[in-house]
Amino acid sequence: MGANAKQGAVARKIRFTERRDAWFRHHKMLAVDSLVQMLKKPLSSMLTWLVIAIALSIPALMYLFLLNIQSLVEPLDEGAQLTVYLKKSVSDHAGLGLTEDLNQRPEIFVADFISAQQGLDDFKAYSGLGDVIDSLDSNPLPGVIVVQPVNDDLVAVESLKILLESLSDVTEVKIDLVWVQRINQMSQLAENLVGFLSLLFSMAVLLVVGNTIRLAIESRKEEILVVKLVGGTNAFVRRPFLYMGFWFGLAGGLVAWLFISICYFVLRDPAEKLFLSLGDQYPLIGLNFGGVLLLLFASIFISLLGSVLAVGRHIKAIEPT
Amino acid sequence: MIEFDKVSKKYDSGYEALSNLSFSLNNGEMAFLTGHSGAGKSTLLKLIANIERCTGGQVRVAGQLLNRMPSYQIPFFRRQLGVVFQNHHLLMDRSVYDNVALPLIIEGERPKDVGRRVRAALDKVGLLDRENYLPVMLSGGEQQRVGIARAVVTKPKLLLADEPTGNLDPLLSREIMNLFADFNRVGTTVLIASHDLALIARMPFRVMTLKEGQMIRTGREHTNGS
Repeated sequence: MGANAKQGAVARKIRFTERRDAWFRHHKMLAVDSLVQMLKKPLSSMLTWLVIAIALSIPALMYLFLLNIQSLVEPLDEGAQLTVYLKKSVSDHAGLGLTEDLNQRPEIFVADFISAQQGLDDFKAYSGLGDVIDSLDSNPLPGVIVVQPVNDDLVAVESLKILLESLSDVTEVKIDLVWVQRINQMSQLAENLVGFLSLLFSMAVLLVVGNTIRLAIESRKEEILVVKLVGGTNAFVRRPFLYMGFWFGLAGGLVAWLFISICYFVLRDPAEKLFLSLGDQYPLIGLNFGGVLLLLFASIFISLLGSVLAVGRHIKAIEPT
Repeated sequence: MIEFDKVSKKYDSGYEALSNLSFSLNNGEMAFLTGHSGAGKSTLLKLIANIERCTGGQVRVAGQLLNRMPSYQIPFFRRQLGVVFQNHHLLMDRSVYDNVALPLIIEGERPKDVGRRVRAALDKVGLLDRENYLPVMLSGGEQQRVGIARAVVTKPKLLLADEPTGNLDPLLSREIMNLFADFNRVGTTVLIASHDLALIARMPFRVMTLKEGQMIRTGREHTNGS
């Protein structure tokens, strides 16, 4: 009798390495088991994936939109530029002469003359309005001199503008810097907005996953009680739900990636045509490898956090009575 | 193995389930706990399994004082016990094998040993051929035997049972009780709460009777047979 009791004690004494192995084994088993459990209920699982995916792809798409806008604006930001509109009466010859004069000035880095005809040709090429332009009786565009100053700062550029405006052949001078700056300011604002929305949508994911896990805990309450009754620790009970959160995050992130890819392929052609008409050939920026990784990582992290919060709140409350 | 020293249990509602109760159960002993429903049988078992804590006195099980056991130690304490429940608490969506294996998985037993020990336990309760069944495919008596197999699969020193024959007919009840007696014979300490007096009387074990939270009789019930 005593010997038997002793035997029982020996059988239960499990060495550290064995416990560690058991720990890894349990994790491996649960990783597979919780995935299978999730796939066993494809409909309800898919709803959760979709919610996660939508909540993540909206800010991601906004961010990509912003990136594309910025890449369009960036090449224009190579410094200030003044556009000098000449009077219509000024001939190309006189325009070229004026340009050469301007090139002599120390405060001007370079000045380029664009004749009225050249401007019209360029516009025809960019805008795709060739037929309309051909039907015009006369060229409505004036000759233009594009001036890049040596000094970029706004005060210097302003004084150069006043100087150029005082020339007799000039009707108007515009500083292109201003709208470039404005676009930069707007994109900064948009960046902040995207950041804020990302935060809000992340919270939505957190709540959705947390709620899904809470329901899963509720529905497996009986099982949790049994596990606790036969000596399962809180950590043991928690594990399957944390894996569940992980899989939800991964699946949600993958679906979000799918959404973004679909959006990308649908928009690529029209977007690149638009870019071409705006003056240059840009590829549409989509998610690169790092972006995909970041998306998946964020999705998994947020979901895991949601399940940690849900599990911490609800599993302790389930105790046998 | 079990020592109750002037134990009281008062629930938050003010209801006193046990008052000033003392008894002990020796290592390797088997005993029945009986009394009317509401007499405190379940509360007593819950105190032993550390599901509830006493509000007065001391409870000592397997050499450990349960009164102030920190909650993180409770799971490890419970692994030393085997508990059989009246409604057997089986996981209905898991096979018989998985149900019995659960305590071993929790303990972190090696997979090859899990299979061996689960089959040994199922063999003892006569359900070796049912390991792939779901509990719903089994009769009430068979489900109870799965619960017993789960309770003994870790070879606990102490086996507790709360009305293990509550829903069974006399013949099956007798079989189940004999099963417990078998485990006792190989050294396990067994405590069974039951109100099946006729059945208890025919078995050669100590009977403790509870009434209104107090032990009114402890000793061998006089018997005609066995």
